[in-house]
Amino acid sequence: MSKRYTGVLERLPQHFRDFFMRRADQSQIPAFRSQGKYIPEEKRYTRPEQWKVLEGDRVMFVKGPNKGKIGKVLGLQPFTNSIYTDIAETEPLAVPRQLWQEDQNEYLIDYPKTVSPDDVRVVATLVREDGTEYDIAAEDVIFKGKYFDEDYKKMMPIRRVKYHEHIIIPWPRPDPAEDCVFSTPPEVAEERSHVENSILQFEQPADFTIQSLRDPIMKRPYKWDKQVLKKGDITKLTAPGIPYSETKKAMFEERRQIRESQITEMSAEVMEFIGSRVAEHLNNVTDPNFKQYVDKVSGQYRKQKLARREKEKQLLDLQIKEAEKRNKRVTRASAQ
Amino acid sequence: MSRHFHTTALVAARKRIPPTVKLRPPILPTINNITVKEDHPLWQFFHDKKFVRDQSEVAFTGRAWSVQELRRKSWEDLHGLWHVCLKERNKLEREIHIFRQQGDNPVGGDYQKLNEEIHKSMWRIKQVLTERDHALKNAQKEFKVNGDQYLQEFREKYLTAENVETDEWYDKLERLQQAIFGIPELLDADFKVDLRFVEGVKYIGQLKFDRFAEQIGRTELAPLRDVAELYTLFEESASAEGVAEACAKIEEYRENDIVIPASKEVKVVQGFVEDKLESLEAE
Repeated sequence: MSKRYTGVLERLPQHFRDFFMRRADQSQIPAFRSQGKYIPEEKRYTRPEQWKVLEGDRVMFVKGPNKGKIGKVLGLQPFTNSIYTDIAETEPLAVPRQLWQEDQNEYLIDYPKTVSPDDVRVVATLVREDGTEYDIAAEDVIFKGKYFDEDYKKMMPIRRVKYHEHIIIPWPRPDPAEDCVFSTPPEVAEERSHVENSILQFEQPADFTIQSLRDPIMKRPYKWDKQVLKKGDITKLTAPGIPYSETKKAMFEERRQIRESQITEMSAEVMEFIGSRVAEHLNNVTDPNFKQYVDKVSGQYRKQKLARREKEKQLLDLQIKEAEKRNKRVTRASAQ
Repeated sequence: MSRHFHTTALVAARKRIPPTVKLRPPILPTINNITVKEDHPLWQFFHDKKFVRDQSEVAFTGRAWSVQELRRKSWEDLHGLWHVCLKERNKLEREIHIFRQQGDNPVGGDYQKLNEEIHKSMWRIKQVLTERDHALKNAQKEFKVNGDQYLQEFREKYLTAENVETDEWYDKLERLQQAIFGIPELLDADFKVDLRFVEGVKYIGQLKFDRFAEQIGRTELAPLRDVAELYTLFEESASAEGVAEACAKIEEYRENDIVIPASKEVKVVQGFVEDKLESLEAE
């Protein structure tokens, strides 16, 4: 069935993934439960710099029941980012019949527990000046420089002891790999049969196009044929503007001067002048209604109104006090 | 009287097998009764006509082809590799499908890993072809912009060099005509001459004439009149003797007073090429 229709764990967020993994584990009997924590594919170790130890290394345990003992790395378990060692604890594991080994006759086998590479330290053997050998356990290792390893057939980082970089811990020698049926001999792989010798002709057939490499019914658009430009794309694609000419700069300067010469605040003289003209006009008005309106909107009217209210309030207070006094006198007389 | 409403089927069934026929034990379906042709095309989905291979048969120690390695390979090689990969993947996918149907998970096994490695090689082939195509298009685009300048520079270097009758310069000329004018070292029997080819003939012919005319004292032939004259120069070797021979032929040719127009150049050069190929075959 296509992955499109099945629940793919990798697609879920981390907390869901943990939840489902836990659920799946809980539903199993203890013998079938998975050992280590599930590590998503993008977080699995692939490079020797991440592992720090490889198959064949001697290591010292710094955690667990084997703490202080020295063992050997037997292999790597990529899907839990952990390593198999020769003196590891074992736990019973049930194996389905179709996966039985040749000399197996029980369902339960003792399966070694793995340890994290962080819980071990690499052990290296050094030689003193007098020729005697001694072991060191590197607290941590760092990687500086690279070299081509003939046995691994690839570039390998040089492993050094942290803070003692002159001490190089060589990688263990891997088991020699033999060619399989799918292997190509190196001389065939390295043979050169293509030389670019013309800008007109190409050895490929004339009807070949890059589009023919793609699936013609693929629904997803080709990733380089961008349909939408993002902000960054637009910035990259926009050419820088032309610098301003001298004429334009002069225009900007002139505009600035005009803006600065504008009057924004009224001067005292102007205010006086405008005030006198308004007062003169209002003084000549003879209409009584208009006078009342002008009185009402003027500042004086509000002051008078407030003063009047204050006076009325004082009067009211006085009346209330007098009434209270009178009431007291009446109640005292009636009590006697 | 029948108890059933339907009678026809029963009656018909009785009639179907004539009483004279003797009943024999049934033939059980078995795989031994099925024969498949040796050259049946679907055998290509099976390895060695096996239903499923053993784990040990798909165990591998190698890795996928890297892009760097594939860049050195010709179209033919890449095509061949693609074909091999595709056939192997067909087999693997079939086997993986069978495992899935049985509920076994082949992911842990080598089937899936091998399949992934082969898939890697395949997309890398596509990558290499895409790179080549882009490189070719870019080169053509760039040549449109500064191709003339490049040819001019080459011409100046050729004319000012001390001695051009060396293997180095012969190689350079050959590479130039191959790279820019598409003139191959050896012509096929059905070679089609195009405008580009004619341009190359003109450029190379003129180049040789300008270089050696003074040395052999045939400057009076300049300017060269048509493509036939230039082709004569183009055909001869890039040395003083070759050009002198060509000049002699040109002199002979000019007695006819024929000048080939630009519209017929391609046709004429095609004729020359065909004549040349015929004469070579006759030898």
